[in-house]
Amino acid sequence: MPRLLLRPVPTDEPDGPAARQTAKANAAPGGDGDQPGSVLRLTFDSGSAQVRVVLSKVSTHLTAAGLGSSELGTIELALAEALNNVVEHAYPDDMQGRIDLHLHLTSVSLKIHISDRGGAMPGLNLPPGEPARVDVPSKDLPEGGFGWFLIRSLASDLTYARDNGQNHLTLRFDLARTG
Amino acid sequence: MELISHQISDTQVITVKGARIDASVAIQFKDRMREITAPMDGRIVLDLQNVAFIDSSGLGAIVAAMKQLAAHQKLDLAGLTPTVDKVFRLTRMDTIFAIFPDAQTAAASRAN
Repeated sequence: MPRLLLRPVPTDEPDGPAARQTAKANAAPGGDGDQPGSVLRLTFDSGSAQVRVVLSKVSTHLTAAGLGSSELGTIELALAEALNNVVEHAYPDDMQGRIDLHLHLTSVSLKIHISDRGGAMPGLNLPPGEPARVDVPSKDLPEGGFGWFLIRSLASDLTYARDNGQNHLTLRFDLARTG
Repeated sequence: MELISHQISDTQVITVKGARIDASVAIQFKDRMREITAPMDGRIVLDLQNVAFIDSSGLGAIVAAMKQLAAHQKLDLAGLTPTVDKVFRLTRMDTIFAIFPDAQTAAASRAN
């Protein structure tokens, strides 16, 4: 059974102009339609089983916050690719490591910050994420390497930084206005 | 991750019973597809109506399953749900496979 720590943590630091965005402890779903922002923090061990659980928790949180199914699909897919990348490359060969996820949702955007203490991105740069070559003979079709292209196609913005032995990846999704 | 096959006229339909083809099951899916398709003849349709989500590992496994086939076998897809369809469209892998709304329509269509 994968060991999974899920700790919705009360946050006491305002993220951005404090007047507009209030970070809510425990990111309670439902209820207040005027809620200016909600935060979800998760900490978990690197592994594909754990990634599944995290994606489910994030989807539940965002569904409760009223995001539509198409946006949810986009976000889940980009997040899956980003987390899979940490599992496969930052902590390779079943190396154990911790991954921290910090999600901040407002009425106009969703930011997901993923940090880990694994190996750095080669060249300390985000991969360009070229599209897959599909105009090739069937036997030469790629079976991988789609991840960064998908992330870049789905997220509105993407940043990476390496600081003090930690990787910091932030995905931003600009949300469709409702109402 | 279970794969079940049945026949509709001269088409073999493989239905995926799991909801996700992702990094945690991609290799099992590819291996299971190799086993189940090995004795099949002709047209094979992979029915993904139960699959709510695939990631790039899942896409890669589906492509690998197709590449594993013999020359006399052809793999088409059916029942792509919205996120699965999104993955195929974004990567342009929807140009590689014939894609049908459901297994019945796939079986009824003429093989190219």
